[in-house]
Amino acid sequence: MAQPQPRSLVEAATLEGHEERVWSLSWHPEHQCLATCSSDQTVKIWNYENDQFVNQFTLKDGHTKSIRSVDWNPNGKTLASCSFDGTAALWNFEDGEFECVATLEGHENEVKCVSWSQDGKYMATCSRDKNIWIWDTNDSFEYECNSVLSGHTQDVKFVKFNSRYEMLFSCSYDDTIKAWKYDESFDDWVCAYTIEGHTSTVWSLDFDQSEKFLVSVGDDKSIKIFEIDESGAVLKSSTEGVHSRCIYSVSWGNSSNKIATCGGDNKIYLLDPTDMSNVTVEAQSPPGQGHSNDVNCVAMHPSSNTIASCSDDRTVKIWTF
Amino acid sequence: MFSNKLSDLDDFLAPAQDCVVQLQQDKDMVENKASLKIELESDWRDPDEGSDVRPDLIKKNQKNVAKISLTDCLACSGCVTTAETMLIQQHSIDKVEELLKNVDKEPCVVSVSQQSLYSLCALYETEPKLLFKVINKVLGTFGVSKVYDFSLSTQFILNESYNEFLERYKNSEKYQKVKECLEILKSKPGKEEGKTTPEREEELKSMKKMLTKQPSTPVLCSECPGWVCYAEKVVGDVSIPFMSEIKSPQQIQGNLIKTQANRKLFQADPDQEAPEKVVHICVMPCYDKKLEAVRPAGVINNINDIADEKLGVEVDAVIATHELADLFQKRGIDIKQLLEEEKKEESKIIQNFEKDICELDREITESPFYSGYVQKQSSNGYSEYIFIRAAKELYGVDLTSDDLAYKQVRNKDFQEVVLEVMGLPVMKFALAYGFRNIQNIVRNIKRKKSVYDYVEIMACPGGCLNGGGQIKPKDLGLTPIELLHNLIEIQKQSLELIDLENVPGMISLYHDIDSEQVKEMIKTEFTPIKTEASVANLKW
Repeated sequence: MAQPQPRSLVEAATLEGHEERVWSLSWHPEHQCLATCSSDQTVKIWNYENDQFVNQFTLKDGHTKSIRSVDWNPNGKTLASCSFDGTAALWNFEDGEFECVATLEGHENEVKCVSWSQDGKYMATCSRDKNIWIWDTNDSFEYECNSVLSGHTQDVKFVKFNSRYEMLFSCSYDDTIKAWKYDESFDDWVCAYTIEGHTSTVWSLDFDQSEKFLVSVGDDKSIKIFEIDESGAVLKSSTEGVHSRCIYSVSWGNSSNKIATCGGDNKIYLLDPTDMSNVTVEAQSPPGQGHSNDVNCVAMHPSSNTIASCSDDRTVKIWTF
Repeated sequence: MFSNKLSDLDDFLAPAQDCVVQLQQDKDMVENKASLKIELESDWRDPDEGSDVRPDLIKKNQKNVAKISLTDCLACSGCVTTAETMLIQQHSIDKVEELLKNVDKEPCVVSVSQQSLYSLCALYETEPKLLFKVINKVLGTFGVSKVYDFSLSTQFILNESYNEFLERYKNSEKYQKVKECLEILKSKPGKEEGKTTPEREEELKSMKKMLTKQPSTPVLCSECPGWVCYAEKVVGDVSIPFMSEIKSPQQIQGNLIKTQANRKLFQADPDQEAPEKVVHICVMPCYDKKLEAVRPAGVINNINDIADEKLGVEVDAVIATHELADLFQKRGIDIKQLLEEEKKEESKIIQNFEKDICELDREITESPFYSGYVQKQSSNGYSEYIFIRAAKELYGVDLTSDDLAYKQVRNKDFQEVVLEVMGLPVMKFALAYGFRNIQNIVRNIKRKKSVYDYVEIMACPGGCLNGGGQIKPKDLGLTPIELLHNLIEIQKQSLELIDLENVPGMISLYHDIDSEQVKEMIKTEFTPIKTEASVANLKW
């Protein structure tokens, strides 16, 4: 049966300003606002004004190497960034300005990802040192280490909290996804289970709105959906043949229930997971257009049919579908 | 222990960065570095699988790694450097077997740590005294001359640690301020009747605030070799000036055996030729104790300050608790049955370390397991011992172990205890176990926000009783916290609290050994180890 040709995503804007590859981005939880970070050691805040995204702030001097990941605190006031310099930084917005209010040291080398829990109580960072740190947060930004999770045997690429099960999920160069949960008998976070199945580095993961399902992507070019709970994960589907190279990032839209992916083939795909066992491609970035180099991160807008993407080509793009 | 935290290395890992336990089992990998390398290179992914091609050694061993749970020492999953792995390999059961073959020429003494003994008690469902007798007998049949516990060495080290603390604390800025505050408070009238004035209350409040803000210069316990390893390699100059420079009981036990007990033990007849060398093996709760045994300070110098071949090192081999159990099993020894027989016999063969290092005319303590002040602590009770004695010495406050009100700071493995005098917090100690808590201690020192005067730092969550080399909780059908609780209970039942001033061993140590020599004997030091810049930094 001939597959219907997927429609094209509409390229709504290109945000230029970063001087080197753009690694990651995060939508503000409420406003039409985007945070991006780059190898140029800056974080940029883009605000949507008069029908366009304007680079309103450029946060400098927080890190001394590439900034790998950014994430907004769910309160919308604080932004966390992490860097290959081994630190995470906290940027607080007050009186119309962003200020770097804390630098968190602890990891031995490159910090690959930073992520807040939905209630803002915890922040997680992961690193090439194979460890994940969970930080206790507070209003004074004197964050303390709550836990150091060792278990991955290689570089940990990405972390994300799941509020439904109060768990933390991590994925790694060791080809696995690990699910971590606080365990009273240890008085510490422990690995509840490990999800195997990917045959190469797992780069990123996300959850659907119910947080009962997890989608993961990686170097093996597969897009896998798992049904998860506190004790384990069941594979619902593994979709291959979408991207022609490594998949670096995935985002599952809350309002749209669509999945966006991007990767080393410079492309962005929009997938429909309505039938979990048969995920279909609904749209793609137009062939020959869009990013001209690896696309490192995609993020679905929290409430609209909009996707943001960023790339080694130093640009950030906004897409609608 | 957590040598694994030292993984300042590339994504492509040599096997040595994998689990210590697993490496000890996988002899081929360690014994022949060359074959190991070939294995590494040939073990690439099969391109037919359609995935990326890269070395995959770690995964190959993943099953072995996975059986190590989080309750094991953090370090067991990780990455000691190759050199350290080789060293650890030298301290294996095989090494011990080799030493045992040679006892005719080089008599062998074994020291069993209290943590190991309690862990084995849980395994064999018995109590320490009985088990110690059985271990004595069994090791005797293996050719071991003497089996000791660590009571005396532990008390000796605690005493020296206390002396060190006192000296450092008394010289601290905080102590000067505390003294000034107390003087002022004492001079204010009305205090004796329990009355107070608003003025005095106000003053007390501001003093409290000032003392709380005063950054402390903490003494950091350095008994834990996992922490030491991490401090030297990763933390560096931030922690090293604060670390206690007193050796651990393991090392000092070896020193005493080789310098003090040796002659008496093996040269009863003056005409008889002294043995070439006495071999000292320790049974410890932790793998990192093996690393400690090979530290440069572990080489014994003779009176001319030169390393003496005959004296050798303080500890010749260290095996973990479970390795001793494995050795018994390997040799087909039924410990439980021997325990039953021992119960009937009620023999009195228990060895006593004191007896062997003391002058003969001193009365020997009856119980081999004793302690000065501490009965309920997982890691020899450094903090508790020093706190109780310093409270008495500096502030005239009489305390027992039961009086100490520990407050949980962040989790069960981070507790603090405060001494208040006239309403002022004059002394604050902490127990910080496990990597996460060490991180907070270190970060606060770095930010000059440390509030503790002494920190008992241990790398393992739960402390030494939960050391990485202990019998695993799951092998006993228990959770780590349940097992820890059981072990502390065993300890409490068996450790006799005694007045240290009357312990003949202690008297003997300070009487028979010249005080300069004591200083020399107990001192160790730490140096930051600079890692070379990693090429991997160039990568993504």
